[in-house]
Amino acid sequence: MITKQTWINGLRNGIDTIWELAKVVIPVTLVITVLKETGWLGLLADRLGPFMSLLGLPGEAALALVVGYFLNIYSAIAVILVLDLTVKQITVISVMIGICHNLFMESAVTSKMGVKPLPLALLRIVVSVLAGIGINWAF
Amino acid sequence: MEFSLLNAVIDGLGAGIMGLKNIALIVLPLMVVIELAKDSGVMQWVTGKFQSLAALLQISKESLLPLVVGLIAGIAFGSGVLINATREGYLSKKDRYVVAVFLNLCHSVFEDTLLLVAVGASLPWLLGSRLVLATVVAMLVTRLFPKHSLDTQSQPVELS
Repeated sequence: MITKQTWINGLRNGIDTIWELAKVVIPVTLVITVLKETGWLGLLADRLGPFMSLLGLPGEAALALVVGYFLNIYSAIAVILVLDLTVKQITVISVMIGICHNLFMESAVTSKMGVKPLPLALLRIVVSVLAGIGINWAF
Repeated sequence: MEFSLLNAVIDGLGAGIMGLKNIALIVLPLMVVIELAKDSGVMQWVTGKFQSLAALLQISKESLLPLVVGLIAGIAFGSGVLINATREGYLSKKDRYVVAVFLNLCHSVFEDTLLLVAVGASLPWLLGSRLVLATVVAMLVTRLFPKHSLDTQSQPVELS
């Protein structure tokens, strides 16, 4: 049954989520913006450019994928906010991160299900990269 | 361009706060809608609609609940329900693997999807590709699963 408590729970969950996001997004956008404006991000981008062009992404976007894969979606969002990307590029990164993120934590959850986590983590990375290539091609 | 730490801090804070504002506009209503769906019984109705997915993945009816819970609420919630069902011995090894594969590729679809849409991703591509890929890969896993493992129906497993 819908009661006043339903609305309160919903708002509270929403505020909790935004607070958790803010704790990650603000520091990460600060650090990435400093990296970008000092030109260090550009150096990294030059190295990774050739690989990232397979996904139709600029080299800097590698950072969004790395923090998404190993940390969480929130920090990948922070990187997306700082970079200048097209809708297509944001969609490619989002699909890749949507499929594969937070690998350490979620592998722990997977092993709790009585399922070997390492093959599943590898599966996620492979599907994520293939999906990125596919979206870049089809979008 | 000369680097100025002050400018970088202002730019970074600006980008962060603008992004959070867009996200808040989506997340607050979404969380209320999910609570309304749970308490009004719509969520149970939705679970019923997923019967055809269980058939497609060739998994037992009992594994449908952890799958739908994880799909909507997140992998941690899904695994909680799955661990319970596993303890009670309803789930075969194949059930557990197929649910785990599906949920690893696709979970908390509303929240993750809308957060990324809030920063500029295309909704149909994002939602569609994850659902389709998770379904296709889980279908492959269920069909390639070693036959002898099917005999381990209803064996409670040791969970560490």
